[in-house]
Amino acid sequence: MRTLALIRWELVQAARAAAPHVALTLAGLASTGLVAGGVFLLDLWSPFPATVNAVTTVVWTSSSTAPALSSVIGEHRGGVAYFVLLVWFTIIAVIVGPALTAGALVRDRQSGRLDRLLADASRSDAVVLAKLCAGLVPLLLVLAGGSPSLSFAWLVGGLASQEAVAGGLVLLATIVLIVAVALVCSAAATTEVAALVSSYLVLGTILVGPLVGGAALVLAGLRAPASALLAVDPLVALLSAQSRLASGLAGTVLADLLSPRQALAIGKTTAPMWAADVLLYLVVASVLVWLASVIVEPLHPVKTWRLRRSDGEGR
Amino acid sequence: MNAETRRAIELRGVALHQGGRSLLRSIDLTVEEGQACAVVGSNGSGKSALLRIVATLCRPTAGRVRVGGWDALAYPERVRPMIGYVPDEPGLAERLTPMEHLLMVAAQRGLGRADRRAAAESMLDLVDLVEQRQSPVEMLSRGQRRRLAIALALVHDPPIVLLDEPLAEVDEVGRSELISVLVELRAMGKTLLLASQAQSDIAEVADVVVPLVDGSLEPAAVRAATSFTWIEVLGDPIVAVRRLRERPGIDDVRHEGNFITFRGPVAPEQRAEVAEWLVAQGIHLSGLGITGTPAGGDRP
Repeated sequence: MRTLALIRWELVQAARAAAPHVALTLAGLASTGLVAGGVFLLDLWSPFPATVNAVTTVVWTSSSTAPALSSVIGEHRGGVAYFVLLVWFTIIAVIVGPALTAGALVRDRQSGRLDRLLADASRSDAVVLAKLCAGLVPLLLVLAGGSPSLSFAWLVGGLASQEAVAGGLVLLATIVLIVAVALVCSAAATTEVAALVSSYLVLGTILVGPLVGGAALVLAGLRAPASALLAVDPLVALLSAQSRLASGLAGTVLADLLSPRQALAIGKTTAPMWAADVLLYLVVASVLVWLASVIVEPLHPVKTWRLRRSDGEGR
Repeated sequence: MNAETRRAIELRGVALHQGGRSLLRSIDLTVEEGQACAVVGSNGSGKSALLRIVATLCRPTAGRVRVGGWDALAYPERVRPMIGYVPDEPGLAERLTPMEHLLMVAAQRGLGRADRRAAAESMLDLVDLVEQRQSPVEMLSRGQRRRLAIALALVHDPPIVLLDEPLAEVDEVGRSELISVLVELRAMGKTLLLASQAQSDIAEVADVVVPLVDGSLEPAAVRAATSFTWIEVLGDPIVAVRRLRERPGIDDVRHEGNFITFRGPVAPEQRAEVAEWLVAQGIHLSGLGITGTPAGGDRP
């Protein structure tokens, strides 16, 4: 209940601080609804059939490998459009997320508000969770404002609803991870600039690091670890969520360069890699939020366990 | 009446080093329940750091802190509900109203839905912000913001209130309004620990003034500001009054029946020493404590 009150407080503040921005986002959401209705109608009648293999065979004839790639792209153009748009959303989230969140705890510490929040809330994890929500909700609203663009994927051919949901879940988990990274940087940094720069560095490493590392491992002939490393990259996870597109691409020239793991076997159970990625991002985000709460609380039990042990009941 | 009053705040050997500098050095300080103690010192003397340590918002490099009987460093979650902390910077949200601030803090402090509004209304009344209840904080004066910060610290009715520079940068009108709030807090029996740059600022409120110079307390300079020690004697009070008047370091001895007040040492150990000395003189005591009113005024 106390944590909910704190979350509500942070959100009310965020809303009051950027009312026009919220209004714009609501307008974006309204247009999303309109487009969703339009897409539903397009689904009943669309000028583009879902499978158009013939087109690609005409265009690509000069290379032994290119036609196969373009054929896959042409066949799954709805999925490709959806994937590209989600990548675009991810990049926006990486740019905007830290800008919304990285300064939160630094600013509060400098203004003395963090002291008040810790004193009033009694628990630092409630404060950090509220900050996470206060960063997450505006970012989601900003992205929701751009969500009408996703209709393009259905306009050019569409994709299976399961794939759309899987891609959305990967994006959502990635956004939570982005905000959590910005939050822990905000907790550790002494200035807003330091928090922002460190957030971008960490997020850049998370987005590009596995790709670079995976490529290096492939070049070194270590395909199995390369496959595992590539699979945890958020951009690759977005691709994995488009299972038919990812399977199609696995048979093309890309298979020689990037061959991320598509499934994770645990005992007799096999889970799609994108689902494992979603779980991984959420677990890492939870750990980062906990870490931020340890950093901001000067007397966190982790830091005072010796005192607690030596003091018995404490009074 | 208990002869031994309870200690609300107790610091033993508290030191704080930050950035290669000693902000606090081996601080020993005791504030009893119901006492108003003012820590006075110039900028950078360590007053705010001392208050933040008591508020469990800063970990000292060395020493122990007890608040309400609890080890404050080991169990901050037990101590924070007992404390109302008014920081130097109020840290208010500019676009929200005093009422919204109070309702939010009341919710955070765990008050039930039905009690929150009543507590908020009561606090607005206490700090005289009823008319500004729906005005955004950005419209409030500095004094009104200070009063709101005090109201936020009190909304859960804590027994201990810590106030960092409560009168800083407040004009004359705001100052007198704030002092009346602080006097009312004292009358409510709250334990107050105040930090201030000038003793004159808090002379009307504090029972004890503790000078802090370069992070060190000056025990010899600890003095009573406006408080009296009171004792209640069994038998003839005249003998006790006479003995007290003869003792060095004690003055302004007054009595009303068996209730005697005097100005003198304020440290608990020193007062206990006076009590033991009286007992050694054959005077039996039934009570001992501190009060802001001399005998002849209101009883504590």
